[in-house]
Amino acid sequence: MNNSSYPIARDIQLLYELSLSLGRTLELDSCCNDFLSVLLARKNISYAAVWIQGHLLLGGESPDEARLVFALPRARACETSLPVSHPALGLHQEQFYRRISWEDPRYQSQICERSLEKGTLAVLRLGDLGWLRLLSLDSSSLSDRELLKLRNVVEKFTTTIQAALLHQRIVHEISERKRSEEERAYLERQVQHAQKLESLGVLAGGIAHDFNNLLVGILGNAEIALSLLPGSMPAAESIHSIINASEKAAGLCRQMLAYSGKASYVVRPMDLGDMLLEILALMKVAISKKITIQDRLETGIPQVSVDATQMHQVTMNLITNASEAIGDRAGTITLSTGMLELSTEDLAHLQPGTDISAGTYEYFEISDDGCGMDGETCSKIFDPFYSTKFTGRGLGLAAVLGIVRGHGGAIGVESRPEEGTTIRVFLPVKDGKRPTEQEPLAVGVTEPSESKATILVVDDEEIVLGVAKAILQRGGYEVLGALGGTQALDFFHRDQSRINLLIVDLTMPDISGYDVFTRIREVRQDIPILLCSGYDEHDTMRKFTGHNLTGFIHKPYSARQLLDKTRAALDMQDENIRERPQSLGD
Amino acid sequence: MVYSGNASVKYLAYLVKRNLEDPMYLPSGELGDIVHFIESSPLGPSDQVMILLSEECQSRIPALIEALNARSIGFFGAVFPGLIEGRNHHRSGAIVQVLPFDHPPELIHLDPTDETWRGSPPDVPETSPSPVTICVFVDCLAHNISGLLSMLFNRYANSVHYFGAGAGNGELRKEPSIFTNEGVFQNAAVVAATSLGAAVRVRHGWKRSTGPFVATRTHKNRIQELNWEKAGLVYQRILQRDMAPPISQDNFFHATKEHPFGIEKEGQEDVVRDPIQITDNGELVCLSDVPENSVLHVLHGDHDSLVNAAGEAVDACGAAIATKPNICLISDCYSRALMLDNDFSKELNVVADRIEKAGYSCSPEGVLALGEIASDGEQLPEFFNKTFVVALLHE
Repeated sequence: MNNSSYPIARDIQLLYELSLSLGRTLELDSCCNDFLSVLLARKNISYAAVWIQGHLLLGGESPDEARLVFALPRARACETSLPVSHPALGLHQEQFYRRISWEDPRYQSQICERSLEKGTLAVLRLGDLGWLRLLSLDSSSLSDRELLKLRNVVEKFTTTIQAALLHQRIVHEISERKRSEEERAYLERQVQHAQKLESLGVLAGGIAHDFNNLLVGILGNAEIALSLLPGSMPAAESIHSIINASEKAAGLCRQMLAYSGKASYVVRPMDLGDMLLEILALMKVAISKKITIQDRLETGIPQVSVDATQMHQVTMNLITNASEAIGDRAGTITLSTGMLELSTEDLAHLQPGTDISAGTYEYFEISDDGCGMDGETCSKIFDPFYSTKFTGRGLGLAAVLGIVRGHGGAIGVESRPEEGTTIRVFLPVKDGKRPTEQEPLAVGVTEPSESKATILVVDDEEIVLGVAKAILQRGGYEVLGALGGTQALDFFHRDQSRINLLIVDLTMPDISGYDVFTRIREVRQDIPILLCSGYDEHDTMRKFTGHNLTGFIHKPYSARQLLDKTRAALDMQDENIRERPQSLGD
Repeated sequence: MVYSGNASVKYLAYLVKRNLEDPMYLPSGELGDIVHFIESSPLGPSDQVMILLSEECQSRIPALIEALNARSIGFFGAVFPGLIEGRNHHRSGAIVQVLPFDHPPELIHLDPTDETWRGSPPDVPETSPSPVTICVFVDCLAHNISGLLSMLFNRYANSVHYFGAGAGNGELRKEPSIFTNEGVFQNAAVVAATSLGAAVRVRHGWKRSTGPFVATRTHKNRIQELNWEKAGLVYQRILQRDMAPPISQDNFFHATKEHPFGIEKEGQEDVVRDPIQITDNGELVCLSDVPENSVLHVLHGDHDSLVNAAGEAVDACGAAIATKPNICLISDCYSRALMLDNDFSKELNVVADRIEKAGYSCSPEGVLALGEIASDGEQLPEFFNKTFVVALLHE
């Protein structure tokens, strides 16, 4: 029906259009589509497919495998992977093409598509890359002349595919490199953030330590001054205010220590659900009546070992925040507990700075449908001194994170603006880091001593030393004061027969409390030694396990606490002496 | 129908009940007439009503949708500049045809700004031993119609025969022209897969007069350059050689109606591209896409050859089916009808004569389209221009 008088002109038109369809893109799929669409639109061809040797493709390794990379129409493609030795792809070494008609008995064995029951099939070589399969219902469209006519343009097509494959590989490598750089940058950010938190922890711990020493001075002196004043004196009220303010300051110090992970822990087994309900009962009066509380507490999950006081603080902070996020509106706070297997991938989504490993964890979750947070706010909420509240000090959630980290746990946060926030606290079930249970020292009510025992108090802070001396002297003891470790050891070596008890500060610049303790123990195993610090009692006691440490006094302490601990330590010493066998007593 | 299914049984019953000589053409195109006709048809639950609506009745579409939705009748359709009924063509009225479908028709939205679409075409029965037929009606001014047809070809390949038409109005105003139970839409297509088999054939009868020319720069349906020159200038020179009047935006159709472009297709007539407009900067806007670097010829219309081509298409179509068809659908180009003018009746008579001569009891019915869609499944479906497409649907 074509009325062209010049078949050669027709051929040139086709080849011209085919040639110019090549090289428009370096994307493999588009490059095949551009070329084969023209081929199907201009020639009487019903189906075309490009097969490439597997090892030349991304993710392909085997040189014995070929893969279908493009088919037009796709609905006819069936197999997508074949051995290169499959008869559908077979071509002799020097052969550019071969052709087979549906009437040939071998035709069916060379078909790897659907609905190709009849027609003529041609397989053309795409250089060393692969094969082009063409099907036409009109055998003349794939005659020798027609196929040879296509040779040059198919060679160009091969070069285009080669360029597309190379481009694909380069893009893949660049993407991989970029992905790996992004991953590294992400890890670096995580490490930086963890380092920042650690630095803040050290800073907070240091500040808390120094403040504790100052508070010992303030509290102690205030208590002494109060005891010296008759109760009717107007100044007594002011001194009470000093004591109250100092106790509040001590509370802040405890929060800073909690954030730094140096708070004191006394752990015991606890049911997370019971704990949540207990706190909730306490807090119900403080939560808006418009807020509905839902609990989805799982029963039958094992208890966890936690410090009840610290965990109460965590829960109260989180429930208070949830309630404040809802504000005056109606809303819902949901409490839930459960157990979860955390994978390494899950750990990446938890708050940074936690050093936990994949495994089974128990969790409790507090979620609200309040105002939620954007990503930037969410990334900062655990930073100390960051607060979105007008009157907030920014220590609440920082302390929460510190406490949870101190328990070998971790925190996950999910939040969306105007949708709400979910905070999930994970705690280790077994084989995880958790604080070891430590029984608090037994202390009794202490009356002023009549024994005239001599106590050596060691502290590098003059104000702390002065207060401790004054309290103990008022308690009826003889007191020697050493300003630092070096002086303490001098006093001890000179007067050790006089000294009945040592109270030693743990952190001193010249010789640490630990070294003072060790050197004295080298000489005397029997003398009681109390260590004194603003840091975690548990951590301290653990360091001295098996070294015959008598006890611990947490700073800042009140006069009563110091006297109670002192009396208890001396009583323990007396008991030891009474229980000592006679033969050794001499 | 050659494969089992309730739809086939119902359709047989429907055909028995219905006298095939009954006109499907409703001259008034009034809402009441259309609804009454449909209600009096024995509709089964999987049947769908195909409504071919003349441009004159376009304003009734919202009421029609409301009325048919209220009666839970599934339907799809499109607006065309004219309708074909037997030996006649009309500028008014409606053609209503009830067809069996295994799946409801699907609406596809063609994005007017890029080459994407929303929606997916309906499934066709995979177990069918012979191809079924899909009907595609598309807004003729929608973008990327060739992309839509490629997508359908990739999806169905030769498991279906393709028949369809470009919808719209004769003035080529941008207006919604595709409708279904979901509403009436612009920049959209409706694809319906009837379980009937079909033979589809395409002919136009245009002959090459001048060429070849290379479309050295094109963008979709705009020819910007021919042989590296402004397309409008080259086209003007060609037409002047054929003694046509100088072209302008005002006389464009009359000056060019007998000189469309043709793109070479091996073993077939050239694929016709109908220039419908010249822009201020000398670009030629065609009704369908013209691939860049494609080689074109200017064609010339001879009334007799065009009329005969339609007859040949019917003969070839009849030769491709073994059973007598139940329905004869025509998609004939609106601008071809305008060009043939009084001779267009001859074309319709030739078609009707060939149908009768073949002993078929069905009468030709169809549309004057703004672009014709056809493929037997072995070739990429094309959006033809100035072409005659016939489909003989059979069980």
